[in-house]
Amino acid sequence: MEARIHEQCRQMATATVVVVMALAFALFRAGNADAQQAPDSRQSGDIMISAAQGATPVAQPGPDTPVPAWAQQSYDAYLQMKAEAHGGTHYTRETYARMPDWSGIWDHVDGFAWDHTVNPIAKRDAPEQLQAIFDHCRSFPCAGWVTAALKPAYALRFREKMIAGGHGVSWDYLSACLPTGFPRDMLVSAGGERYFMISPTMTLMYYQSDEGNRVIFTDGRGHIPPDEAYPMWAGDSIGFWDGDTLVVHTLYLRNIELNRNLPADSEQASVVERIRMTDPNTLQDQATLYDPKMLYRPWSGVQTFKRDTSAHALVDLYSCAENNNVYQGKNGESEILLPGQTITMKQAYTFPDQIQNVLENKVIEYGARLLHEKPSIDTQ
Amino acid sequence: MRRVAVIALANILSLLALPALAHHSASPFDSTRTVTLSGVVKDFEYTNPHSWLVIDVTDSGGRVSSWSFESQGPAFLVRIGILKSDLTPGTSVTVTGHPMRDGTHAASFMRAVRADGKVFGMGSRGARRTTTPG
Repeated sequence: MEARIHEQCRQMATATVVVVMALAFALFRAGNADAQQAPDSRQSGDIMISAAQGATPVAQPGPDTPVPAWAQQSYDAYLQMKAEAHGGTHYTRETYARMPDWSGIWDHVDGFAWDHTVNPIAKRDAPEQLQAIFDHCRSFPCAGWVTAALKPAYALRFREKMIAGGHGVSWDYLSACLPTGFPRDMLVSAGGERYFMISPTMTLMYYQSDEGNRVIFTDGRGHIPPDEAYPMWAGDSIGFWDGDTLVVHTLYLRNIELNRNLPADSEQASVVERIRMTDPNTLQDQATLYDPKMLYRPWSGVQTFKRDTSAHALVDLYSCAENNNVYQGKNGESEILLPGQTITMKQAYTFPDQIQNVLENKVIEYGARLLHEKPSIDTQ
Repeated sequence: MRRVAVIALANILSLLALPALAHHSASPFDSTRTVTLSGVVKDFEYTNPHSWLVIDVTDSGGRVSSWSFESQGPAFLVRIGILKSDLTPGTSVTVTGHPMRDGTHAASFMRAVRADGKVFGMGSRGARRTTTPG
C-alpha cells in the first residue's frame, strides 16, 4: 500500500514537472514567437509578456491581432520589412550592450524633409513667408514643397489655411497647450529637445514640450485590438529591431495639423518608420505616412536629429499651461497676452476633420483676394 | 586685435534670430522690421512656454513706458547662455526684436546688449560651450 502511494506520488510529481515545463515552454514560445518566427507562422491570440525574470507575465495583444482596413497597406509594408529581417533581431537584457547607443539629448535639424527635399521657405510660417510659399505653389502636389498627393477636401482645406495664414490669421492647437502629437512631433520642428531611451522590449521618446511622449513596444505584441482602439495623440506603436534600425508601425492617431504650413492628416493616418543612427551623433527617421482619407498615395519624408553635446543642454519637461500667453482673437487669429495683462476667455480647438463639411460655403473676407480664383486641385 | 575679432564674432552671432516659435504662429510679429530700445530691466519672466523680458523705456519727454520682449523657454535660454541672473531688475540694457504688427509695445526677442557690452542672443554661449565626456 505504502509502495503504491509512493508510486502515485512519484507519477504525480513527474506529471506536474512535465506540465510546468510544457507551460513554461509554451510561455517562452509565445513571448518570443514574434521575434523568432516568420510572420506567416505567427501564433494567434494574446501573448504573455513578463517585464523581468520572475515577474508575473502580462497578457498583451498577439501579433495576429488585425488592423482596420484603412491601415492594412501600411501594416503590410511593415510586415514585409519584418519578413525580410527574418522576424527581427531579438535583443535581451543580456545582449543590451549590442544595441545602438541613442543616449543623450537630441534636437531636430532643418525641420521636415518630405520626399527627402528640404525647402527653406517651407519651414517658415510668418504671413509674408506663407504668401511666398503660396505664390510658389498654387496647386498640390508642388515640387520643392508639399509633394503629397492630397485628396480634394484636404487640398482645399490646406489652401484655405495657407490663404488665411498669409493674411495673418493663423491659429494652432499648440497655442492651447495641447500635445504636438505624432507624426508632427517627429517630422517637423516641434516637440523640442528629447531623449530616445531604448531597451529590448520598448523604446521611450521623451519630449520637452506638452506631454509629447511616445512608447514603441518591441516585445512582440501586436496592435491594440480594433474594438478597444481610439484616436490617441501618440497613437499605438509597435516595432522590431532590424540590426541597428528600429522599424515602427503606428496607427490610431488623432487627426492633426502636420504643421502651420503643412496640411492636416486624418484619423486614418498610419506611419511606418525606420529609425537609425547614420553617424555617432546623427539619428535619422525615415517615415512614410499612409492615409487613404487624405492622400492618393503614401507620402515619405526624413527627419534628422543631432545629439546635443552642449554641456548646458537640458530637457525641461514643462507644462505649456504654466504661462500660456496666446489666445484666439475674434477673427481666429493668434493674439498675444502681455506680461501683466489678464483676460477671461473660453478656448476650444476644432480638429481638422470636424470642419471639412463647411468648406464649400465658407467665405473668409481676409482671403477674398485669392479665394475668388478657382482652386487647382490635382484629382489624379 | 584679438579682442576686436572676438567682438566682431559676437556681433555676427548675435544677428542670428532665435528659432521659430513652436507654440504659436509668428504672425503677431513683423519679421521684416526690427526695433532697438534702451532701458532698464523691469522683470525677466523665466517661464514656459515663453520667457518675457520687460524693460522700462524713458522717452525724450521723460515719460516711461514698458516694452515686453518674448523669447523661448528657460531650457533653451540656458543652453544658449541667457540666464535669469544675467538680466536682473535694474540692469541697463539695449534690446532688439521684431515688433508686433498692431503697434503694441512688444516684440519677439532677438538680442540684448548689457551696459557692460555683453551680448545675449543666439551664440552668446558659444565660447563657453564644451563637449560632454563620452
